Amino acid sequence: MRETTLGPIGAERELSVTAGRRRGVPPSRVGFYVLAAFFAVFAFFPMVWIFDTSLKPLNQVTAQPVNYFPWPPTLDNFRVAFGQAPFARYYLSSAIVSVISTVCCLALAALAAYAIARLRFRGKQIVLIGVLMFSFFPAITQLVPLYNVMRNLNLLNTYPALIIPYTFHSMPMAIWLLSAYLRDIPHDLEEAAMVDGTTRVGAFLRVILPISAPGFVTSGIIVFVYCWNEFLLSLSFMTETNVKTLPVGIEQYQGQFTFPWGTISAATVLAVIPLVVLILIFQRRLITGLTAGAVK
Amino acid sequence: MAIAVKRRGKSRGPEAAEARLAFWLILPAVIGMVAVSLYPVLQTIAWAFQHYQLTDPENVYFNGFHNFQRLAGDPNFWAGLRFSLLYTVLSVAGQFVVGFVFALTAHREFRGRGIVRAAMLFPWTMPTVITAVVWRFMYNPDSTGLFNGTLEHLGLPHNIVWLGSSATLAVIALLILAVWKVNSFCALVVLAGLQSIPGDVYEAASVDGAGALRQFFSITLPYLRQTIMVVLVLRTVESLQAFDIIVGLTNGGPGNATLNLPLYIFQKGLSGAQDFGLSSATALVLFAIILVFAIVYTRVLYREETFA
Amino acid sequence: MDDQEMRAILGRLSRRELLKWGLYAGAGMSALDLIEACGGSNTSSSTSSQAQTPADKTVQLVYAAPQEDSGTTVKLVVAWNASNPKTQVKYQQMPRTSADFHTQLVSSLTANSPTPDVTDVDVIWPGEFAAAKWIMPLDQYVTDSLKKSLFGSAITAGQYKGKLYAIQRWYDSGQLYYRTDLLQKYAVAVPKTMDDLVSAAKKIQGGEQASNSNFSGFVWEGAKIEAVFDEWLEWLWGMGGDVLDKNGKVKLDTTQGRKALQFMYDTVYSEKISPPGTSTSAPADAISRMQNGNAAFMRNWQFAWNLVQDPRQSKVVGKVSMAPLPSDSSGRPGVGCTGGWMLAINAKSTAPDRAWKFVEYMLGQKAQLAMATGQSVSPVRQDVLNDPQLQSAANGFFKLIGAVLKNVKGRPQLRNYTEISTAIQPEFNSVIANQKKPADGIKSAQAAIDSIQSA
Repeated sequence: MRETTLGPIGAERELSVTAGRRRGVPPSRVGFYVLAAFFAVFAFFPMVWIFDTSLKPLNQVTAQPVNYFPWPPTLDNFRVAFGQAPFARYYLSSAIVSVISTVCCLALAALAAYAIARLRFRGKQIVLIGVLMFSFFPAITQLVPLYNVMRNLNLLNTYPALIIPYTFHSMPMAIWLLSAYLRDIPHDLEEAAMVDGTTRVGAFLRVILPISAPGFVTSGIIVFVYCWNEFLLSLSFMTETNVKTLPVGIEQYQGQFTFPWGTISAATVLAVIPLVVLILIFQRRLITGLTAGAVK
Repeated sequence: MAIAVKRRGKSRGPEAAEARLAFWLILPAVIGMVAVSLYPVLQTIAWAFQHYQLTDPENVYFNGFHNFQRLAGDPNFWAGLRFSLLYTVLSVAGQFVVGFVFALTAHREFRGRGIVRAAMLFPWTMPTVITAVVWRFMYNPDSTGLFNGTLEHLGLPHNIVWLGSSATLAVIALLILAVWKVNSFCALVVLAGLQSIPGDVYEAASVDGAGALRQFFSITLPYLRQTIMVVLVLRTVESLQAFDIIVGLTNGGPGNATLNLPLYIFQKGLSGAQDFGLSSATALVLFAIILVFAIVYTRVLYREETFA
Repeated sequence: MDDQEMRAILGRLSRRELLKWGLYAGAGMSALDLIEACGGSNTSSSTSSQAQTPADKTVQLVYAAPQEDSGTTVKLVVAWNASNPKTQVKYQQMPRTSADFHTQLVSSLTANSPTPDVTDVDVIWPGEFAAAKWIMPLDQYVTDSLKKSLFGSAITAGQYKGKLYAIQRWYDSGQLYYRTDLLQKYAVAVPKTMDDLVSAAKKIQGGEQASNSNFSGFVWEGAKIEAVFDEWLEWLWGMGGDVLDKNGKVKLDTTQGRKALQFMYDTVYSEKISPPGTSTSAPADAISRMQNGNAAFMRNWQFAWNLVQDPRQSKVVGKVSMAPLPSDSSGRPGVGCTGGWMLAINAKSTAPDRAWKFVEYMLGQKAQLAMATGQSVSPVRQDVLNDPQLQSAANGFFKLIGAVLKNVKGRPQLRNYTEISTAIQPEFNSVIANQKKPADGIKSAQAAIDSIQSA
């Protein structure tokens, strides 16, 4: 069915791919905006609340009933967050671990996904499920054996102790996502390029990769965020302050029985907002950049 | 499985070459995953058939299926199993529907789309451990919590004990958090899928006079078939292993109303019982359940011929 | 090390330096030139364990303790290192929550790691750790004079199967906080019995709710956490009951046991002196109610004192005092359940004798005084508690805590304490969430732990 509805091969289609993205129906209906507003509010209100809490003086954080407008707003919580722990250090550790894991994971997963999506061989379903089976054991059961491995390899408190498991724990997810996107690209595009004398690698780099860029960006974001937020392994493998990652760092502002909401809110704001801004810029740049290239 | 591929591929012409190439492309990823997971997985399997309690180091021995028999006799295990399934079905359905609509919204061109896209990402990027506790704070039954506090400001009854009265209410509260937190995943993946649907398909359909709804069912959904399968499979696998989110929000409470299998595994293993035999056996059961889900999904949604 | 020397060392360290040191503990310690460079805490070579380390050999020990903000632990370690060049100690900062500390510590202990050499352990862990042979018996080291200098329960609380595995470093305990101004306003005395508590709470709540609908007579912790079991123990002990039967098995379903849970249930649903949200109330929730001036009485741990008396976050500074918990009759003293942290030595430590020296130091008079002053926690030595400096400390904590500490009791040391407690918590929590009747809750909790104890 897909084959019959597709237009002619070649440049024309590339144009229309981008046109479809641009076109859209002008959203005139109020209902649509209500829906969009609902989503924005639903997703944002806890963040707004956290941001709000991060500006509250200590005596207003647990006011009964809640106090919406912290007055006077204060940056004390941010000061405490920075003063009590090497927050920048946590940031650095998280960034190093997440970036390297994501790059390694995507590179290896892209190879496998390409094979599954675009090469002819039998038993793909078995391969897909086989790959996925590596993610069937919950992290809690793997923790102790993995700790043993890392200790024997003298990797505890080093970045590879997290990079290695993160890369391969997110591998099944990355392979699945990427193969779904790669599979959607019409075969004739690649074949047309290969008829023109381009090698398979060239066709992959010049045709497949640009078209499936949204898929790569999405998979990259998902793997990155998984690494960025992982807690259990990080808690156990990284006991030295200078290699701790953000989630563990933030979690450790907790007292044994207390939960300093102001400090933790401030830390959460600091952890999340730059990340989201970065992802947004990255996502937009990449998509617009590539579509511009395809049109030309 | 990769080995079987290679054997089959050797005999025939260009197709055999492709199969060989596939084998070499898949190999590095598989080697890595085996290297990281093989030992923990084998260890778990071995422990599942042993009497192995860390607090009883003198008595470690093979005990066959005894751990599984103990599981069968523990009402908390069955409660955990039931809740795992319930939570998975409801949260995946919720995340999928909300995420899908979210993606359709963010896919359209309109002023303020940037805000909707940012909104899509925010919940997802927050560390789960922290998210769950922040929501617990919002659900606080004293009016120090955002929800009850707002109800009090509005002059409404404000003594709702969200997480500690009826099981149903606690489950709903947990599901709201689960949908809030993870619909981004579905939305992101679906959005990328939507962006790769060629626009002329819709144009052709519009010319033919197909309405928006028909376009959705006859074009969008079929096109996203693979994407949808991927989303459902990955979300199901993760939801069956949900841990941080439940520990942080309810710790399985009230009573054991929101105790799921991973939490049960944690309680029986690392958190103090140190009964690695029993918790490994539970992990195997969980493994089997996830496998069944994955096979069913791929059977129903996977079409080999679409890209062979 | 004499007093002057210690002062000199502490004086040299500015607040800023301490912070820096604390933050980068492990990586930046060589900056202070106190410790020779060493690898990561878990990478030290595992030479065979010797009972006696040659006196001239320099050893590197790792001490794991919860992070804390006062910098006292850092100071204590720095002071030790300055006067013990042959035994250098590195402070490994652990999570403050018991659960995360446990996860992190158990990961390394199950891997037979020789570090940490000395570790803080939550009061409920020694049984589990001793059974797993992760921590070593300390009987060979403990002298009579050390025993005499500590509170009796500091030693007994760490015994498992007749041997001593851990010694209390500082105490926490459950107690009753009350609003002095409200007790005066309504002319009620500090309750000595549970009945007194109910009637006093009712009286005050009745009066206050007229102007403040959020007011509750008595707040406590009914969430699905360890505290819910501890509170039940406190009421049980207050009625003369006990949780272990003759054979050392946990027995909940006794007359007093049922009464204790019934009492907890009644505070919320019959007497209505405790808020309906008690079923999700953790220590911090009870504290914020108290701080907001919305409660007359509160059962909480010792740490709550400083928060309730902190003018930056509390509206009731100077209006709160504390007393031992009430019991069932005025003749019997109420009992507080102990918490806090104990010191233990890793059974795989490569230099246990040196580790013990460090433990001794942490239990010594000077270290205990520095700890009590810096961290505002109860010391385990009577001489320190009596110290005029502590007795005259600003917020009055140490003046009042002596009376509470007279009647405290530790939770039983069991091989599978956490497993048993984890099985009990949901059942008690169901009762407090009004999903089960107290008698049924006790019964199902008993059934759950019977199956654990017979396995």
